[in-house]
Amino acid sequence: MANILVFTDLRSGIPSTPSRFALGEARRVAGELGATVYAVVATGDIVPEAIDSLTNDLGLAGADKILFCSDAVVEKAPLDATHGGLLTVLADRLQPLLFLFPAGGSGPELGPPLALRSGATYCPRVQLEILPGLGAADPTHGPRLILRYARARRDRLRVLDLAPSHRAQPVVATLPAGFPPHAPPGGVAAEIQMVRCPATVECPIDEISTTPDPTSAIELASTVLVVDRELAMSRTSTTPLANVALASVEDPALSLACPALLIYLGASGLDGGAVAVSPTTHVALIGPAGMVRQPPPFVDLTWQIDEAERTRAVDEIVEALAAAGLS
Amino acid sequence: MKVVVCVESSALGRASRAAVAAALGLGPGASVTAVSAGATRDGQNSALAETRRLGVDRTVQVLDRALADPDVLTLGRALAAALSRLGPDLILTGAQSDDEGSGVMAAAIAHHLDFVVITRAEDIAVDLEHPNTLLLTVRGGGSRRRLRVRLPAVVSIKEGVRRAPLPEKSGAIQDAPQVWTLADLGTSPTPLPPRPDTSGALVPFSRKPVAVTSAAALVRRGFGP
Repeated sequence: MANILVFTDLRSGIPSTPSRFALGEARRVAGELGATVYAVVATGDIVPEAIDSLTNDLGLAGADKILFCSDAVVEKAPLDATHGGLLTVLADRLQPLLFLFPAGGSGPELGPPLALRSGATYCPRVQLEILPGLGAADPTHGPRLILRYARARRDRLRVLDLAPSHRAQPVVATLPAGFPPHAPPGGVAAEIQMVRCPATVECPIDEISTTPDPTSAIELASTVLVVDRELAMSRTSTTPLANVALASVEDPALSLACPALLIYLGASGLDGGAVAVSPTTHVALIGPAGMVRQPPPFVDLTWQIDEAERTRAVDEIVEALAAAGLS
Repeated sequence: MKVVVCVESSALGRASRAAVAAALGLGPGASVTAVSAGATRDGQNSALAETRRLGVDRTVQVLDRALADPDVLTLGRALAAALSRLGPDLILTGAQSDDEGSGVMAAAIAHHLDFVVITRAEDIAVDLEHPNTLLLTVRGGGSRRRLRVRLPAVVSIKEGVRRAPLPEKSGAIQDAPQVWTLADLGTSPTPLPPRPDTSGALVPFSRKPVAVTSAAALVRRGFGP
């Protein structure tokens, strides 16, 4: 039976929205492929009540089984030097068809080294799709798993077609931000397994200081509005688990974002390549005609407004997202 | 400190430029070499030529027909072979290229050399209090972390991070790279074809913009199919 592993990103002890979206995506394709979905939780000391709460949350999000690793090593920054050993052991043991990382920063750090050690393909910012089998061309007659991912130069996509007979090589992938499916009412009985962190050689990396990142909402948000610095500074920052984030064009956290909806709101001096996109990301450009000298690639939505209406447009978009249940 | 920056064989990408700037910003105690690997001889518009203009001390090109259209593993292996010969303390790359943008190269080099890898660093500096260590800042997981890394290490640098002006370089500027073939490096020169079965086939992608007239329509289409 195939396995799908999903790395769970905890923020203040709670699974991030992109993590629950990733589990929902895993659940969706696992249903078609007959696969088991594992949520991987790597954390420091954890009390039994927190395990119960996380088990329920992650089960509702789509996990069949939850692998908890509680160890001081993985309490540190999510780096290959701290987390790579654990993830490699899990990949070796469970031989997953897919090892998914949610949007939010840990995937680009942990995914490539894991893929290289596991002999896997690494696909950033994927869109997962299931298509019918190939018929006589594939004796297993099973469904095909299609992975699409956007290159930085967004003129072409890469498409990986994994028919059952081509699934010898596993795939490590990161996902864009998105919304988890509505959870079924009541609790879900996910199975818990405690796993040991493998003994590691001395880590050559010391954390000197750790400070909360006030812009971390950007990397988790499913909607990112890129605006001029003055407008970004004038607005109250969103909470860490919110799904909408306002970012300045100069914000370094933008490079960690991969939203479902990316909106450039008359942002001058913007760099279209600064934000990663997936094939499913919609890119909107709002402003008067000719306002942006160098529009970003792949704009597929435009909304012409006057310069003076920019601030009001932000409010209207936030209200529209709330009305649609997307904030 | 011997620092090697790995760059593209084509034009210098934005993140690679940031990596070169970071290397040159490490100060006079760092000797900086730029390396690329490809199948076309270095020209005036190449990334290596650009690094020479920026002030690196030395450039090296791994030149081999087998590197005409390499996948990341092949490229990583070729660069790692050159790096083994150069014996660096610190290897820098851009966090991602401007074309493929998968951000795998730093990990591929580290994998072949068995070095520790840290990706998407925002700034780096020599730790003056501890020998052979580096201080760097990374962002992710809701935190901004200051790290001390014992070398050797591979670090990828994010583009767009503001840096101090580059120091003036003295001495003669090398006008052409040193060229090594894969055979020179003791690595198989066997051409390795692209592997669409593992990296995915390339297909065109374009969208026609649709005009909307309200925030509600924008959100509806933005989260629609």
